[in-house]
Amino acid sequence: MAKFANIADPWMVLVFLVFGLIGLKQFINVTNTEITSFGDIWTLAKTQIWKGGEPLPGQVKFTFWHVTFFAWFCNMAMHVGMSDLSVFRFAKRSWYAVASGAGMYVGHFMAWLCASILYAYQLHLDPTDTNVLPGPLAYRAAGLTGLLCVIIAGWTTANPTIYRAGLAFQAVAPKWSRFTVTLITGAIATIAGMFPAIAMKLLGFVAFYGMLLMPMGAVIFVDFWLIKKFGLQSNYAQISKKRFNLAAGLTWFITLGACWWLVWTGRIEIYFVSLPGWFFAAALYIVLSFLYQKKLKAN
Amino acid sequence: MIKQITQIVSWLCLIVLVVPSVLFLTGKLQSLDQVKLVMLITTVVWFVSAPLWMWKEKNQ
Repeated sequence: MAKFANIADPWMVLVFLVFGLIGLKQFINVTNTEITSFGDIWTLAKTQIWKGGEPLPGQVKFTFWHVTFFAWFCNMAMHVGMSDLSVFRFAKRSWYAVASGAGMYVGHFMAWLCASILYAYQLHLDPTDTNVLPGPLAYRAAGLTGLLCVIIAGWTTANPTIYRAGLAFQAVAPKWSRFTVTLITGAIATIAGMFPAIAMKLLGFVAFYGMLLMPMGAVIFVDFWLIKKFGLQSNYAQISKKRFNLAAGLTWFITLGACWWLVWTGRIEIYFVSLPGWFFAAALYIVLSFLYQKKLKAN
Repeated sequence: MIKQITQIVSWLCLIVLVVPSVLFLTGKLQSLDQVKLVMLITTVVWFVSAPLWMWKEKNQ
């Protein structure tokens, strides 16, 4: 799977770029806009492509800040929640981590810009056609290549997550082979993805599971990079032969509880809560470690 | 030698993949169907030629 992803990657990035170029030209044609300078493109973008409007029923109105935060944090579970480590443990150099950043820029800025041009074009042709269907959008812009790109992009994006989920299931059922659990996980995810009721809730769902893993990412970061600077012990559960690090556990549950309360009471939207939540979890873990490690040492 | 040829072919494919859409945007190419056809051909050639050197490099 990883081998195939390596080959698909440069091709896929360029096909995404092509989506944007073709979509832009289609907009120019359909609006009879004359482009003589970059300013004309900017005007077209502001007045025809990204002109705003009311959200679909049941969806949150996305502002510039929603998009910015979401671009950075929709993969929070992986990059901040540290589930990327399940793949990066095989990295031969530390700088391989820039792959995450590079992927975010290409996938969450360039590809989203291009995809939004295609969707805006669809709405321009028929304002009642609000279906968010990547396949038909891609096919209209780039034919079979576009369709192939959507399928491969979905597959290669899901691969590491399915692998990680497989590892997690394997931890629950160690006797199952990794191949079996990965296959079952992939099948469940595929079937779930076929239902629009689930797929259309993706935005809220990724924000939620990012929030779910965020505190543990802060714990891992602090435990590896910072905790010794405070005179505390890293990997404390392992060294003190405990099966459960209470400081880490409490940090997780308290942070989640606080974030959930903020979202539930409408004080902050779920898309924005995880960034301050990370700093809260990091500080809380240090404070709780002071208390926890001191108490165990005293005993 | 074969590896170098496949490398050149595959990199050329990536360039040719984008060029028609740039020409389409600038108005030098009018037919979107032609753009789609070129993209499909370069896609096929890329997926045939790239593994010949990319997978070989990984195995070394």
